[in-house]
Amino acid sequence: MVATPLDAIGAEVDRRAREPQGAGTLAELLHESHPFYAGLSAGEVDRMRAYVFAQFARTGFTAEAEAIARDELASSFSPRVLAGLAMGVAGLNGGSRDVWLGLLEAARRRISGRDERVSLDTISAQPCCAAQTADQALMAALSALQLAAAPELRDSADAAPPAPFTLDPNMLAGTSLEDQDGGIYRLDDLIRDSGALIGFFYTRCMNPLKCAATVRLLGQVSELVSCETRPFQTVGISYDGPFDVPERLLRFGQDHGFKFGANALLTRCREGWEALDRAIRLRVNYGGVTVNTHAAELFFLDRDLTAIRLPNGNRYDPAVLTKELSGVGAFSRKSR
Amino acid sequence: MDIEAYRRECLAEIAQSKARKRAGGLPSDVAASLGPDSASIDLTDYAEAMPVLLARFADENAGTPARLAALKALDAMTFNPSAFAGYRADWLQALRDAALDKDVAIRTAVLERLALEKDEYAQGLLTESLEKKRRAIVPTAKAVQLLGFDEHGPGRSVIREMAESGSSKVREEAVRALASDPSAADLLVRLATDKTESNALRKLSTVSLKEAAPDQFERVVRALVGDADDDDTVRATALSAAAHSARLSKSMATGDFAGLVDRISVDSPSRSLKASARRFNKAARI
Repeated sequence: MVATPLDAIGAEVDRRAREPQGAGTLAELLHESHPFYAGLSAGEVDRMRAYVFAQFARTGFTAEAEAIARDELASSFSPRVLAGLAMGVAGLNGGSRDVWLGLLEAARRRISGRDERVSLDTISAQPCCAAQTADQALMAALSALQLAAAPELRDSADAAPPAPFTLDPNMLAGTSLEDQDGGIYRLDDLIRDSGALIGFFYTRCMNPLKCAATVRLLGQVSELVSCETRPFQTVGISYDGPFDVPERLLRFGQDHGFKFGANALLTRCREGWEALDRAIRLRVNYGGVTVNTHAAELFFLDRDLTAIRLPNGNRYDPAVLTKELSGVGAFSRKSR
Repeated sequence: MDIEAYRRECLAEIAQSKARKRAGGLPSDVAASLGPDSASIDLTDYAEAMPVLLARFADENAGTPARLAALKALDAMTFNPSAFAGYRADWLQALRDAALDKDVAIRTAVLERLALEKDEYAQGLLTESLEKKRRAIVPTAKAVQLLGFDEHGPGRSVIREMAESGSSKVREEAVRALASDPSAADLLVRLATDKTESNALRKLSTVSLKEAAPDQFERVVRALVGDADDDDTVRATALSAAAHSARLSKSMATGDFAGLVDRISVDSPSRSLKASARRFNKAARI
């Protein structure tokens, strides 16, 4: 057996899972920007996330980990990750049981036709040791939740909504974006008039519920926003700038119903990517060639240089989101 | 061969194939390799056929042709995803179990299928094989090719190394795989413009560069096409690759370069270069 970087990561996960406050330190490992993810293949990322999720069965979830688990259960196509989540469900102590049951059922449907045997005994467990399939793990989690003697899981375990933060004007001025037609913009120019809804994506993303859905949402909002009193910009920025040349941005937008226009751009960063990444704490990491893991990420960057990460990733009704970001909705009053 | 006889032969083959399909039967070559008991296998009956075929495939005593035939029959069954869904995990597991089979033909067939599935276990084996952390499980060029299927997969640094230092076949596969890797742009530029490299490698490098780094590709095309002393087939490949992008050919078809391509399209002694120049001009006019 060849020792790999994953084995070292597995040992660290095991160590954290044994600690008294293990759930909190394990949750840190779910942040896609964690250095452990750097350089891994997408398959290795799945191994790591699955293994971490499974440990919450022992430690119990934190509210933050639970929020991430819900996102992942709602969007992952990886049988391994979903099996890890299914095993971790035993550590649930928050959220509506119906929500979790719905997410588990949806995950089963999503991997129907791509199921596989998975072992999570160790982070590097080989398939020869796999006794159950991901679907069987999801079914077991469903049964456990349905049969649990405890009453409805405690509600309102949502992680605290993300707080607005202030943007550095120098960072904004130093961030240069190239759009699908080769036009060059500075980020501060794009938010100057009415702010901008910024979504992150990359054209090589394999998960239709992430980047394709983000771009589709941006496109729908951009069509609705012109009817609002506050016509903010909608801008997609690629995580994979070196690869996502204008031609690819254009094709990706066209393929996903994105109607390009003066307030609707898909872009890649030409300058200032690292500063932007640091400033808004992107949840993304990279393997040998391209992105290996990322969250679905949308931000509203306001003209007064405040910004907020939208708490539900890309899972919004476009009309509701447009109203809220135009300053008339509940989200705006609560969060901004 | 008499064309009419050939037509009749094809029609008969199609009719036979349709009849077999209706009956859920095996293609004749597969049935022959599986042996006489294959007559009872109905590919539309998943509950019956899957266990039989998986067992035959896993049976090391069945012989290579029979095992490969079983694999082929299983391939056919994957084409009905909803019927196959309930058996997929077992099929995948059977492939993984055979990834280190003693028989290289079985290993290769299995790893090809797993690589197409972007299977992380198979990718790990292939990477370890290339990194010489285990005995080679398939020929090096094949391993590079299979790892190249997945840009999200492992082994990218070893593929970059192979593009510089492998045998010619390995280098060609590695250069193909680098088409998805913008960080390999400088390497691809060097290989494409280095006249001491084989023409085949230079052509592949040029085409891969178009995917990996379109900006640098444009510069390389200008350099290659503008060098009358360079090999005409290399120049023709570069120009043809540019012609496949209307945007690129439009942006390039200006000034001196447009004049050069016009002259090539008329004067070049190379038919392939001349044809590429015409293709380029046509694309630029669209």
